[in-house]
Amino acid sequence: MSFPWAKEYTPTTDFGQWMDKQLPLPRFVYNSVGAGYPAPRNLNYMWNFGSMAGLFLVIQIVTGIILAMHYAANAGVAFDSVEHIMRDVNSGWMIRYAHANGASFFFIAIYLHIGRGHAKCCGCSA
Amino acid sequence: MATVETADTAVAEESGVRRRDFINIAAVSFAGAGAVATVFPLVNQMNPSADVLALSSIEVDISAIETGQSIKTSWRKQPIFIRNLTEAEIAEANAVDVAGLRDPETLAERTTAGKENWLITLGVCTHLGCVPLGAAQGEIKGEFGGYFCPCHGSHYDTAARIRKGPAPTNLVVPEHEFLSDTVVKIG
Repeated sequence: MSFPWAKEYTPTTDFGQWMDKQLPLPRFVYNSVGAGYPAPRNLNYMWNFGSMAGLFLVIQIVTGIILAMHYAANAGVAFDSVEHIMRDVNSGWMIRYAHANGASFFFIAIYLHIGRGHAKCCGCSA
Repeated sequence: MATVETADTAVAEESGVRRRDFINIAAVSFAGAGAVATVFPLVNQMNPSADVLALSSIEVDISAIETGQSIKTSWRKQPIFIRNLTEAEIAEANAVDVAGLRDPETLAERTTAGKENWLITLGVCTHLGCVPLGAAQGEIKGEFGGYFCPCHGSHYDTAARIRKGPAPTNLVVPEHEFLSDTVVKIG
């Protein structure tokens, strides 16, 4: 997402230029969320919920994969494997709670994000 | 960025460090600390879990083992010999010239200070892994009065050191500590 009118990403250090040539990941971030992605002045806090929804999606994927490593999808041992996660796995209780609450917050963020687009006016200057 | 800051417009402190530099460094440091705090549990969950750690050590009650007797128990699925050495066996082990042994170790190095009579070893021959004889009553103790492996004839002395036969090293002494006079924790 780079725009011809936006500020060009110009690394100043030698390492920055080398990195930009090898793997332009900083350029991607700069053009997506940095100064290379100009946004209107009248955005308010409601515009935070899009990236928050994205963050919660990442949290759900990461914690979900980790939980799947310790979970057994078998009716005979599934309950025990969840208790194993809650009691024995290091920080397992926190990863499981993050996954459960992250699901709720993902919906909260996504509804507010959708609602911001549908609302006629939500604090904007129009 | 709302304003473009150049060297001309920047308000330089006397030290040459701008306030914005300080804020940038502080913000990145704060974010870095948060990232470490987030990643730590995600990595730590790969370490041995509490139920695995609970199995990795055992506590053994040794109060019923009379002098000269020994017991077999198991630890991490391997046999363990706990032997209460007699005074004669201790004297015999200490009388050996350590420098001449295949795997030089003194009895004191293989036992806990003050409890030299408690010889705790893995019951696994260091040659090919058989369980040596000598721990149970009536079993052959070998030519040196300790343990004898019947598979290929390794003789261990009263400090469970290899003295004769094919085994390359002494019987392994696992990490252990005495929780009290009657309870030893292995592992």
